[in-house]
Amino acid sequence: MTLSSFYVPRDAPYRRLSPPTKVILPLALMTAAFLVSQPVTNLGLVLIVAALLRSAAVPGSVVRGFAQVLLTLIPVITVSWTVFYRSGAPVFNLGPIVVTEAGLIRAVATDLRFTAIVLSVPLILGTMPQQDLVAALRWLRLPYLLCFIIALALRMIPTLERDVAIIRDAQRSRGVELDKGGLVVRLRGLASIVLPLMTVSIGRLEVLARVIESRGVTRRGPRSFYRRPTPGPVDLAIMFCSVGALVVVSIAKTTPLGRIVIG
Amino acid sequence: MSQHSPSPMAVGSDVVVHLQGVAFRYPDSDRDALHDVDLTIRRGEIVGIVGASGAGKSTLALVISGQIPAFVEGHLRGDVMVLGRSTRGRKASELAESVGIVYQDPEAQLYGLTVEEELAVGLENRNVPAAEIEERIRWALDVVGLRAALLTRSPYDLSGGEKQRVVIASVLALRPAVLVLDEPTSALDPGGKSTLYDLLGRLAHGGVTVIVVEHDLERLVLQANRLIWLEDGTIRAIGSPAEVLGESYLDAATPLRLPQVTELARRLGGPRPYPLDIAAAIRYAPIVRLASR
Amino acid sequence: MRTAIVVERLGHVYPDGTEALKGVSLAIGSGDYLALCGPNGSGKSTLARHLNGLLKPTEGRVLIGDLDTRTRTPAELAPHVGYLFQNPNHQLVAPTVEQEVAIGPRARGLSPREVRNRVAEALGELGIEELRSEHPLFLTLAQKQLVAIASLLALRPSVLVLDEPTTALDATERRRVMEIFDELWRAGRAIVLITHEMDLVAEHARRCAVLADGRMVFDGDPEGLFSSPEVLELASLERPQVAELGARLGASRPWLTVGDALRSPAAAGITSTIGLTLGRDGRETAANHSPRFLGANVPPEAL
Repeated sequence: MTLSSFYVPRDAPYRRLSPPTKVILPLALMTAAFLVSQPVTNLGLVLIVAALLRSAAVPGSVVRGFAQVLLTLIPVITVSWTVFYRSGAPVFNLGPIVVTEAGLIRAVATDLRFTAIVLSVPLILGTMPQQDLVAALRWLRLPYLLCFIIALALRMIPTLERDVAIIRDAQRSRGVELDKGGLVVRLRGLASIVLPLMTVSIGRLEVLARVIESRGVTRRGPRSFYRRPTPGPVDLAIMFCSVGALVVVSIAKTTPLGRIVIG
Repeated sequence: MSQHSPSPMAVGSDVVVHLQGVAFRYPDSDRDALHDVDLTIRRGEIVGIVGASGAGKSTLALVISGQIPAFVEGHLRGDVMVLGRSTRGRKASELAESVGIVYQDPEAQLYGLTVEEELAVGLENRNVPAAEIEERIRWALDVVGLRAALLTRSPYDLSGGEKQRVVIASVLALRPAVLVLDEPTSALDPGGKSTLYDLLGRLAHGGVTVIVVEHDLERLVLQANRLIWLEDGTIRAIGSPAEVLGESYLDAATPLRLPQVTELARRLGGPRPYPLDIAAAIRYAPIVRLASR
Repeated sequence: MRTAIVVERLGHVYPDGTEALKGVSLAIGSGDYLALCGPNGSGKSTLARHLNGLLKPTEGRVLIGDLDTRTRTPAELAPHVGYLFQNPNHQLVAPTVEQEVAIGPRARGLSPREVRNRVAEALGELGIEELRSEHPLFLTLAQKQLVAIASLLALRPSVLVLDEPTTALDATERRRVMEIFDELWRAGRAIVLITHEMDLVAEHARRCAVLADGRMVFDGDPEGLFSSPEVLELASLERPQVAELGARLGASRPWLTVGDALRSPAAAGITSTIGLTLGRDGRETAANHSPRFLGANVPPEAL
């Protein structure tokens, strides 16, 4: 699965939002997951993300792919918190390991926070084509050159993938084994791919640099925005509320009631 | 830059490219890659640059398009005038509005996530208003013969010939009066080559001056007004295709890939001018005699 | 002529569902010089990649000698079938030509002495001994190509598959590399040349397999191909210009190459003045045949 295959064109309510909204809202949820450590509230965040993924008709295969990342993270997190967190009332003993109530709560909370953060990613990458994502970043006032570089990197991914495939085939064809073998064989195989990849890429980048310069990408001064996103009132409201909610959460953390709800 | 008509930038003079006493040496090289180059190219011409590998064809293309000295290090001597102005000391993005260059590998020249972006980026960076960008994109696609439906596609998914044409459209969107192409047909199949040469013919007809570096001459000789034959960094012959290829009788194994009919006439030692295509070959007496045996 | 490669009712469907090959069968003999032609999308590149096991059949099978490509990795098949890629830059890894050519034999586990032998043999057969200590990346494209060919030859394959080897070369380089392929063929190897340059097919190939839309639509000699307008049309192929010319002029014999056209009585005197020679088998070669081509008799690898 490559970065370009997360997005599949579909019509769904969430997708009709303007691209900047579809960047700000998930980012706000990810930041909220960062700030909030109360498990129940975290669960609420995860449910919101899940509902939005549903409303955005993100393909199940994409979500599953990200869920697999979680499957590797969650055991590590859970074990770390339960084994190493010692303060608070003990719940049970496993030999020399003491599992405490506070440890369990923190474990659950952290698991949920990571879930919310990881699942917010397909909410960004799977709900719009890459060019909309870059346009959203530009609309959000990210520097033009940075946006261009991000777009260029995304654009180059399929090219690099194909280069690697051709190089691997060329090396196989001259006797370098890439399809089986132990560590030494595999490492040698890797070297036979990296060097030609660099040769081919560097040659290409030299030409590309000239082309980019000729198109005026490094110019200073005003530039127009051909496909500027045009967020409507609903979009602006959502973005405003997302950022506002984060401000509220940050302030609330300093109050006693806030600490209970947010942690 | 605010043009509303779809024709390329028209500047008063009829001479679009003028090189006088031009020489160039790459850094760390002990010989000139180009020397004693004098040439004049007029608006609407199609000029082919031909010669053996290493003769200096690409170097000449880089000099004419201003990439030398804008990007490429080395020692450039002589005058290089494009549309009446020297190419020295000019910024690449400004040069691109007078002379565009298309290199051999389309994959190295495509930077956009969509075909539309490829075409729009150059115009956005010149602060061209959106409505005009739209018009120019439509014009550029039309000139190169690509359908508007391709605008939303990724350039990566297109065929080799289509990629090449997207690059050309992207260069043309800036309305240069001169277009330089460095071996544009190497990666194309015969159908793609023919399509490209038809396109170059259309461009020249529309007033764009086309300069093509090429080593497969079969189609070039039919479209080019003039050929420049480079050998060891200098001009060996310059003139109409018939005149220049007539020079090829001197070497038994010429490095030029001549059209077969021309090669046949050359080996028969027949009179010059040699035929350049089948239509001329069937009227060429020594060949007709050959067939009647 | 023994059979080197057998393609039996080969079908190939790519992961995205494209059916690139539909029931293609082909037997390549050990002395064949076969051109593989067809438009883009015809399946010719797909078929070529089956010949050394880079692709595995989704239907049917490919036998190299008695090895089934489904049971071997392409690296294991490299000592039998060498595949030359179009861009040598995709392969060059080592800091000297010598080390570059040694990569294959070393990867196949040959002894250091045997590796040295193979490198010397390959460089010698191609006449590029003097490039031995050069850095491959600083060579010209044509030289890099020779280094890539040497890397393949070091494994002593009896079949060479050449993927569009001439598209970026000037006429001199092109002539040289086609002569090399002729020599390699005469030394006892089978050649499979993928190309859309029909003048090369006419000049060098003895046999032509044409694919269109995933199927084999022609398998015969070049002369037969050029006199089958339906096949040419179907595969979007054009006769070489001189063949077209000969047909238009109603020449008594078909003109496949410029040499053919010249081989008529009226031309004989003039031809010898300019100093062209006709090769052993009647195919014409250029006068400046390099003395470095040893035409070494490399024993064909027993299959």
